Amino acid sequence: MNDQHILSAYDRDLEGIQSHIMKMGGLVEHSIKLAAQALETRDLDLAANVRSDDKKIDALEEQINQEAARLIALRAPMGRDLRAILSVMKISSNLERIGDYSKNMAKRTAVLAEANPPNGAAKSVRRMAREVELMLKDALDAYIQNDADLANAVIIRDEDVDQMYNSLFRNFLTYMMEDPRNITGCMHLQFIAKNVERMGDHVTAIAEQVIYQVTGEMPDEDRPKDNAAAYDPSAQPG
Amino acid sequence: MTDTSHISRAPRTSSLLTEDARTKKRNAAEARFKIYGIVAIAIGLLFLLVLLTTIISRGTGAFQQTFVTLNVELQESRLDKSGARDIEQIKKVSTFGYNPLLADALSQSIVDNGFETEITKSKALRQLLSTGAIGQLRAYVIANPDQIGQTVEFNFMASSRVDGYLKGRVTRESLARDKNLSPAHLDLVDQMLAAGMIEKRFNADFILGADASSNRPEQAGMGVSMIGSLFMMLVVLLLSVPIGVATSIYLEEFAPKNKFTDLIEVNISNLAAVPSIVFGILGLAFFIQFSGGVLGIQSMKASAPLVGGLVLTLMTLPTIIISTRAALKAVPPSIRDAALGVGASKMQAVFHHVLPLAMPGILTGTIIGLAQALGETAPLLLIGMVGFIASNYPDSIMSGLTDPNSAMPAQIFEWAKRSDPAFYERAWGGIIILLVFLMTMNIIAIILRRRFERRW
Amino acid sequence: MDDLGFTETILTQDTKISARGVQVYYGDNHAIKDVDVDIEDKTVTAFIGPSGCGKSTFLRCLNRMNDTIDICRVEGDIHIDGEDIYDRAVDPVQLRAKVGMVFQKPNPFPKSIYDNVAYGPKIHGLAKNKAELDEIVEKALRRGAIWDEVKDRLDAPGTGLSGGQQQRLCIARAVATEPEVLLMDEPCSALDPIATAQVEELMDELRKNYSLVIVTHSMQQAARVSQKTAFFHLGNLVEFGETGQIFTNPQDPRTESYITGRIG
Repeated sequence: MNDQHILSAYDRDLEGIQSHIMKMGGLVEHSIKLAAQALETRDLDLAANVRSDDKKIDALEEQINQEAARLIALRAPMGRDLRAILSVMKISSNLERIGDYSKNMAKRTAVLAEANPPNGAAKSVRRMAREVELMLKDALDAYIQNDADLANAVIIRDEDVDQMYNSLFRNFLTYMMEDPRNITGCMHLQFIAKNVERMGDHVTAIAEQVIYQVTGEMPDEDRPKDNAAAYDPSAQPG
Repeated sequence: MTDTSHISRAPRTSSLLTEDARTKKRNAAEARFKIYGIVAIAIGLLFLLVLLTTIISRGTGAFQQTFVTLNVELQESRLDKSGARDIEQIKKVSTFGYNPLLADALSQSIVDNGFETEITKSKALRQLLSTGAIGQLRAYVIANPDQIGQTVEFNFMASSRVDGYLKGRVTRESLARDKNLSPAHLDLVDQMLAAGMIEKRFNADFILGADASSNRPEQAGMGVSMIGSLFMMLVVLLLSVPIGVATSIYLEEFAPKNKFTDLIEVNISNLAAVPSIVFGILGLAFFIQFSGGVLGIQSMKASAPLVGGLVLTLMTLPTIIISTRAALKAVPPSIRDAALGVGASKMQAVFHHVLPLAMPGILTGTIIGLAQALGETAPLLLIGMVGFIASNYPDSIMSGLTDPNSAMPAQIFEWAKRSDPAFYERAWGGIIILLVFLMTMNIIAIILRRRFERRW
Repeated sequence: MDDLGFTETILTQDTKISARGVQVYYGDNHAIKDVDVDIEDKTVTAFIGPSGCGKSTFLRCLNRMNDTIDICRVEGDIHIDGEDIYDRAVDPVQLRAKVGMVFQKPNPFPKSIYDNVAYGPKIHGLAKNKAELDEIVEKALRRGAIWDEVKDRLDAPGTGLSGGQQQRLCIARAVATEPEVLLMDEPCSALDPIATAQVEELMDELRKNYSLVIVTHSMQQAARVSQKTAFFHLGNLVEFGETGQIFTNPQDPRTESYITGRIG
């Protein structure tokens, strides 16, 4: 199959918009990384950087939406081109959400600096964020290489993130029961962990879009959700 | 999106306001070509002008004729000796018997008007008048026997020499070698002209009359040959149009495309280019010698317009077939598709839709074919449709078809080859009539085309 | 879908035209290669494909318009309502009354609007008298969605209408003979976008009563009006399926290349 359009400007447009996605993905990856680092090191300057960088991500999402709309209007994409444009719009919106969670993490870093959470707790959150960051990197690789297998692997890895979240949740409960002074810090960390878990879900959504773009079909939704424990009252330790 | 190629614009090398060398050359070539075209058209127009002026200047003379006004005493002693006014008795006096009346009338007018002339012989005097004058006189007397004994004023045709003198064709020098007329006659003519006895008038006989005789050019007319042409055209029209149109429709719309139909097509195209004399000899061999001779069909006689029409039909068919096929081809196939698409049969599609649209083209082709046939001479020569037709108009359609006749172009050819220069003038005049016919046919073609033409 | 046993029976019941192993030759040129397709009733089926892919040729097989071309030879079976239309006993004239056709270029007869529509019913003897014919003409013009525009000038020449009106007149002419199938060979390629939209709206309307098959060069048009799409390439029927699926997720790489503008 010929990969080039007869109209080469069409190819340039598609490549342009995909390169925006990659740029946006790079910014989001970096943002997660910095936010997690700021959280662990309680570096307020770094956190401020993350918050200001989110504006760039938002601006990029806006630009991608406009270019996608223009491309749909001008090129009337069909088949995989259509799927590519639809995916671009979904992926950019998912990336933007991830960026928002990352910003939120940076915001809470400032509060946490005073709340003084238990040692090691922030480190676990950072490990989880690191995992999500790697998943995002793989999802973006899968996107650019049209690699449905890699995308599938990313979706499966989301279970690990969910399990990490579940165990963190139990840890935070334990900390808070041990010492009520930990409650403020742990609550903030718990929210951050929840955000990271949501980031993982958005990465999964991106991976699903990659599979749709490549195969034309959305992957089945009956993926095992293992974070049920978080909502199960019987799972409370003690 | 961030395409930078358009930024590096090529440096401007030339101005649009000045022509470069190639443009100049190109424009010059175009101008030259236009000049060639104009010159070609001018040459064409020049020839057309020369042709028309020649025809008109030489031919219009034939439409005028010199007439002599003469008072003739219808002497009873010569015409009706018994005085009984018995029409049978009067008819017994032959045209020769009227000669003395004319001679007397001429002598009388010379005396009455006091003309001076050295001509005394009555025969020489009569040479001023057409030999047809006595026939005219006799016809009048037979029609009006009660006028015998009276003096009646007549308009006689002047003889062709006198006519030629008035039209400038005959001069005193040219009469030196002429035994029909002498310079003395011309002196007399001058005096009669001054007295108003001789004048030139429009001559309807030239259009309506018959080719009288090879020595009476002043009486010769196109009328009968026109009838001959008309009957031939009738035959051509009735045969070639149905046959030609039917052939074309079959070949164009129904016939399978194979080697055989290809062969037929090639042959039809070739037939259109066959010299007309070939059709003439074919007509002579088949219609006259075989059908008329061997088979003994009475109407297949030499010189019959029926045979002429058949020969011209053979000649016209290819023209009509080719133009009809072109007209059918020019009908857009979308019309056929439309008709077939709503479930019309092939024949319905052709007759309801294609044929009406092809009509203007078919009519034009037919009329052009007829005009071509009208002007055709060569094949008619071979089947004997030339020569002198003494008899006048045919009595019925059948006799019109089968009685010997001539055709306009053959008549013109006949006149042109006769020795008397007066006939030469008639030939040019005949060409004018023929051209008027052709122009009329073309105008009819244009009018029909306009009327039938529809947009699609 | 495969679990639902009744789906299959309904599909076969609704099949209007069924073609099996259709081959078309123009002289030595093999124009259509072994095409199998089932065209459903009350559905718009679009044939798409690059120029010369045989889609028009196949369309013209469905009402035997190819018979008018001497060198054209059709093999295989085409059944309409179970009857073999290439059977010796079938008169193509009768067939064409049942399977109407609308052409690429609007081709009204150079006659009045009324005569254009009345022609088909007249030659098929559908009307007993003038009043009945008037009724048929009005009904056809209404179906052609052009009645309101021409009702005051039925005597005006059909060729004097605008392109879009002419094409709707041609559609009215085609439906006047009460066909069951309407074939349209690029019906909008000579029309402007507004006229195209009107004709497309009309197609959607006609779908209630007829089985429509259209050939189109405009993939957008196929996507807009059809429920089923067939993609032809080099005389082969490459892919046939739901229009939505063909345009978002075609199964054959050739279809994919064509609809995304990649076939050179």
